[in-house]
Amino acid sequence: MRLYQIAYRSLLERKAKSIFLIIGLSLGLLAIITLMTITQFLSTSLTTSLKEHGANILILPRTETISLTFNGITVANERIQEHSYISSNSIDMLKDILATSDYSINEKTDLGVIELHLKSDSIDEIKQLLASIETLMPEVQATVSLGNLDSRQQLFEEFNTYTVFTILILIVVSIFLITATMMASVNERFPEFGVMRSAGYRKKNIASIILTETILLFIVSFVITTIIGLVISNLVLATIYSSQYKLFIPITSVIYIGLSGAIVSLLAALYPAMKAANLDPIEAVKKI
Amino acid sequence: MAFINLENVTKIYNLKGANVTALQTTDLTINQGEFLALMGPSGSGKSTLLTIMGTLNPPTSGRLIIDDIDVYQLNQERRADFRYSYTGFVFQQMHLLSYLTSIENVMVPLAVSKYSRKEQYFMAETVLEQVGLLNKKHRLPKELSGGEQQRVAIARAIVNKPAIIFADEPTGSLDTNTGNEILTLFKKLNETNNQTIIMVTHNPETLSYASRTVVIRDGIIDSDTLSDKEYLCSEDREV
Repeated sequence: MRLYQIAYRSLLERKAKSIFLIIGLSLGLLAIITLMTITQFLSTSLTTSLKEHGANILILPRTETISLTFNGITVANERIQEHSYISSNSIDMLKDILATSDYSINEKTDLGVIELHLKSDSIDEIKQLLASIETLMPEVQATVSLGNLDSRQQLFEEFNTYTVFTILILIVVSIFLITATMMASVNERFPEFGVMRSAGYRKKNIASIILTETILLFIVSFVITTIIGLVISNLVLATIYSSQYKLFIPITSVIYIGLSGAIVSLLAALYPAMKAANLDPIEAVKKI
Repeated sequence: MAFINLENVTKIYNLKGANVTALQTTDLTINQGEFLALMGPSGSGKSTLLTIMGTLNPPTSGRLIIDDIDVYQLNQERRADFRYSYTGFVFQQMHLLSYLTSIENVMVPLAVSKYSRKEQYFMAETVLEQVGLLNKKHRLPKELSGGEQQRVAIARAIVNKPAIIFADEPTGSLDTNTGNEILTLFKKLNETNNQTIIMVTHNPETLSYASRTVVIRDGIIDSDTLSDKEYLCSEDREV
């Protein structure tokens, strides 16, 4: 007989409570896993699009503009004063700046523009690159055409914020659920813990029984949910992105949810575990 | 030196601001192998004395020395270790774990030991045989009679081979015949294993099994008599 066996058998004895907690935790985890999978898929698909198609950047010589007004009436707006060309020095400098990036360059120096095709992992990286080009080379200006990626990026960010808030709420609810269920279990088992204390169990032995029970319940919920969650989110993604869809298993997210979920569960069970461990054995065995 | 030594032990409970003396200054020595019956009316302090000797209830003042160890000088966790190696407890309500079979219940104290599962199983079988329940080792508590449940509880208390068994009204919830069977079992353990038994009881039958009777009234030891078995038996017959 080992402590984990006592924990396991006690869970089997309290089937209704165990199943109730497993269902509760599973629903919470299911929502978290589905939301995180979809978020991660969106993020991956953005990056993939950017990597595959790249962004078109147009680099022009910086031109001064003037506006002519007379008596409050605009006579001429943003007239280009003069036309200049990008020097070969500037092109060399541009190549230096881009040295570490994956790009192809199309010099149309006769037109005074450079077409740059850049492949990157993120929109932010491209925007940063543009900013550094303009800072280091004040004589040019750079514009980027991202197509629909910009709006997709914005949608992704909004969805991400929503996901984070939902997950936080789900975590708080799960903590309450675990604490309440384990507390109820401890309360009805006072004599059991009293017997164990009088038989020479240390406080940490008693606490570890409660914590083991909680972690066992979490593992069962987690395994069930991971399977169902991945199936659901893949179905959702297959429906939305039928053409782009590939089987998507976010291993890092799953590991991350598993580890943080286990830690959160243990923290939630800490109070009931301490309560069981600190029981006065004499009082405990008196309760029937 | 005696095996168990209570020196100037008192216990005062604080109940809602009022101090209640459960045990007045008490000295008691108990030798190894004694079967001591602790008797007295309800609220006399006998259970307090039992739990103090059982290392579960620190006295307000005084010392408890068992086997030359000043028990209440040990911290709580060391005292738990001490209980593991020296004591076994039997309660009126057997408090068996309802979801474990007899043999598993007996192995509960061993779950925090270093014994392998095989060794644990063997030890549990040995004590179940001693209490005569080896044939019901796979039964759940609900499938056992009250007397059988108490025998499992006794097996659980002795599986560590403790030097002292503390019993708090172990026959209190049993009928007379079953109660006598349990007392016979305690007597057998006392004689064959030389285990010291300290038993709180209301049951006058216990007197014919115990080797010494201590009566407590109002937190004071009122009488402390070594039993004369012949005499007690004849008195029994008269009753």
